[in-house]
Amino acid sequence: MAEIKEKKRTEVADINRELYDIRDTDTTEYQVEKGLSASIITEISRGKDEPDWMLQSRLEALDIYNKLPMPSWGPSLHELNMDEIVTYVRPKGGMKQDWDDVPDDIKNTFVRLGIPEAEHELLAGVGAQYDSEVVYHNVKESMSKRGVIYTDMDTAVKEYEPLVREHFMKLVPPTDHKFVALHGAVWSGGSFVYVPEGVEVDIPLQSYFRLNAPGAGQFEHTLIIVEKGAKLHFIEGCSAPKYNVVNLHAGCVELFVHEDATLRYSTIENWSKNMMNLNTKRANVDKNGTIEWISGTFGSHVTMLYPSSILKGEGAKSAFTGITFASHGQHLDTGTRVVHAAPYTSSTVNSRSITKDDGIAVYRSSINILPEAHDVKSAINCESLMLDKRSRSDTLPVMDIRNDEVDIGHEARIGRIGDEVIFYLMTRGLSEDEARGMIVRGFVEPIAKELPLEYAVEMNNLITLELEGSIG
Amino acid sequence: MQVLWKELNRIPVRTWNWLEVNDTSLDVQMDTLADTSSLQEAISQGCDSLITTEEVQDFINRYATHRHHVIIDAGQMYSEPEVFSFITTADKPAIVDDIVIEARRGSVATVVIRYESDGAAEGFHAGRIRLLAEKDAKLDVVVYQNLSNTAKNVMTIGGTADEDATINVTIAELGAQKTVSGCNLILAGENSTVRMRALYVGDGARELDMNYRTELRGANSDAEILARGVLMDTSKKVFRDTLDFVRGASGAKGREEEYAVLLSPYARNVSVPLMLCTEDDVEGEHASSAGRLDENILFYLQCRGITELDAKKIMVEGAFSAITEELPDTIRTEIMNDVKEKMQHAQIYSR
Repeated sequence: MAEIKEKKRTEVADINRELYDIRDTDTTEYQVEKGLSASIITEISRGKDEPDWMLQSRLEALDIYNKLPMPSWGPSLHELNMDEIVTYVRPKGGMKQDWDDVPDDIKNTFVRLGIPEAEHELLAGVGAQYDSEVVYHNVKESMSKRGVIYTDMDTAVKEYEPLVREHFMKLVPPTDHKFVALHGAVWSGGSFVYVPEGVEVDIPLQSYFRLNAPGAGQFEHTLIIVEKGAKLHFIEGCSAPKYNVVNLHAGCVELFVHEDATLRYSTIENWSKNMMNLNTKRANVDKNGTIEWISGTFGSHVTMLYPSSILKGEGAKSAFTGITFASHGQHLDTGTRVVHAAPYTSSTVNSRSITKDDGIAVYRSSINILPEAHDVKSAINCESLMLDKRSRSDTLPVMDIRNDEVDIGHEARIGRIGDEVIFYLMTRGLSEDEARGMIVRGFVEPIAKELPLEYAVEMNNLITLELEGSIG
Repeated sequence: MQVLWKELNRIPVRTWNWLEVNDTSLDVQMDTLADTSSLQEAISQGCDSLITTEEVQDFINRYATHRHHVIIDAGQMYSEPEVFSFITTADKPAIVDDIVIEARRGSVATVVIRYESDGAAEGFHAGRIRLLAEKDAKLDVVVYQNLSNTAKNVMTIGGTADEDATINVTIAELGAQKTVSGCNLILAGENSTVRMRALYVGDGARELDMNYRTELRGANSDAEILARGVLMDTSKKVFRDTLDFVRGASGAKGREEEYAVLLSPYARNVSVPLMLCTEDDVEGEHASSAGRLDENILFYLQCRGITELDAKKIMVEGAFSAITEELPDTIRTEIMNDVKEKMQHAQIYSR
């Protein structure tokens, strides 16, 4: 038997969480009891002074939640006990439009994360949510004058009721799955964005979600409507300090991209490793509209996240770009779903994952081409880099094609960097370490260049590389 | 007797239930079969790597109508294939076969197993093929299924390749109203090799459900799954292929590739190419694609006086050549003739 040489491996440090793990201890004004019941939901709704239809919607969602089973696939959710989760935590201070009015300890959390600075220098508007409520929301006057609406969801439910009621949980109904039903029952906070016809919002809007309370859940709802010919880039960031108890995030994002409109939705998720992240995101795209998903998943203990695109109108497009980094104690099950429901639609998926230290990364996707969708193009590419033998990487794509006039291809790779590639770069004058570093950076570059790194200080420290030996 | 089997062809890692690819089921009504369980023989360890249900195994153990245990002695090399032929007839509509093939150390052999129907009568086939290739052995198995259009077919194949051994399995699924076909090959030994080839034809209302898996355990093992298919009329196909790199398979390489030619807007094509990995020092890749035949090439052939249908036959034959070129001549010709025959009689080519 030939001797198998043990290869050196590239070391990639864990993400530096020092900034995220700072806890605020005296920021809660009020919270409901642990668990889930009609009385808790009614209490949340009354506290928000919501219209009756929203309370009824919540109660119907609770009923659906109680009837639906847990998923029979994907990561184990056995650590999640809803009886121990506090579904609503109201921080002190209420919502402000001036950072100076936000309570200091809450404000300092966002200052450390660079949000106020980013707003001042780089953004058209910012929403900041702390536990279950939005504590800060502002949009530049120049945007407001053009008819752009960017406000928190609780305000939107009252001030833009017809528009919200027409769209709220219509794209992602409570019957979709158990955690959407949960969201429908206890949702709180989140952002509402409306971009009128023809308006191009040329600098991004950003919402940042911070979950501070231990054993709590965050259930923000984001609803974005981009009218005909309009354009928007929306950035979502999230983090939480680490505790020894389970926290839950079951947010919901509904995006309506109308004819000829473009929406880029960027997310950097950096939840702590006690977080169960069961988020649902979906976009409906009309004729010649475009949705671009940019997704960076770096945190949480368990994530189940599959941004979905329904290409309803002829010529609609979807582009998904994602990176997942699973380290010790993490099971990150991510991917995307695209439904081609009209002719001449197209989709691309470009996904990368890195795993180390018993981390598990799963790429899960589905591409569905309906019978009426002819002349469809779809290209899916995913690549996985495993840094050691302790981790796991699975690729589970599904293609369901019901029309013959299609051009669809999927490819995936997993493996190590070939010695010949290293040799080639070294012949060009690079050292071995430089060559390996270049290749690893090249591996993440297609995704990293799409991430809104310039908008948040912490993005610059996402992955630091220490290179030694081969990568495999 | 009624046979209702559920959770057949279970996918190695479950996914969304609404996609309906996690498994399949089969419901068959047939005349009572004789109990032949006393005729079972013991088999070598390593032969039992099937991924089918206990119900199917128990059924075959109990009701097998044909049992064959083939042992190719160490060092023996056979150039001519051994052929097993099973035909359903109106008098004997059910075939339940249990075949074990053990290739001893250093041996070389080819086995062809054929399943066909005499006439169009409704029939049933449940088959189990268990394979073992010991060190340095090379075993080629061709399974050719062309049962009647009303038959139901369940096929489960399992095999293990030891150190430096090779198992090549080619499965051609051309017939039956519903086929549930599964194959699980384990590359247990260092430097072992597995080549799995699948060729399928969907016509009429045919349903094909396939689940082909390779498990790479041995260091420097090499696995390939290659599939080609054509779908016509209102046929439906689910094709799952899995490369599973197990921890310890350092240096292993795996490739899976599927291409489905779509010749009808009413056919349904579902592909599930899985790649599972708990070993970092591997190279794995998979590709899955589907679409119509290239219109430019079709036009070119028709310019040369070839009819559209014949041009399509030529192109499908070309697409299938990656699999058929490695088959024994007679079976290759027969398979392609049957494919063309089915294309000739397909009902729907365009909306």
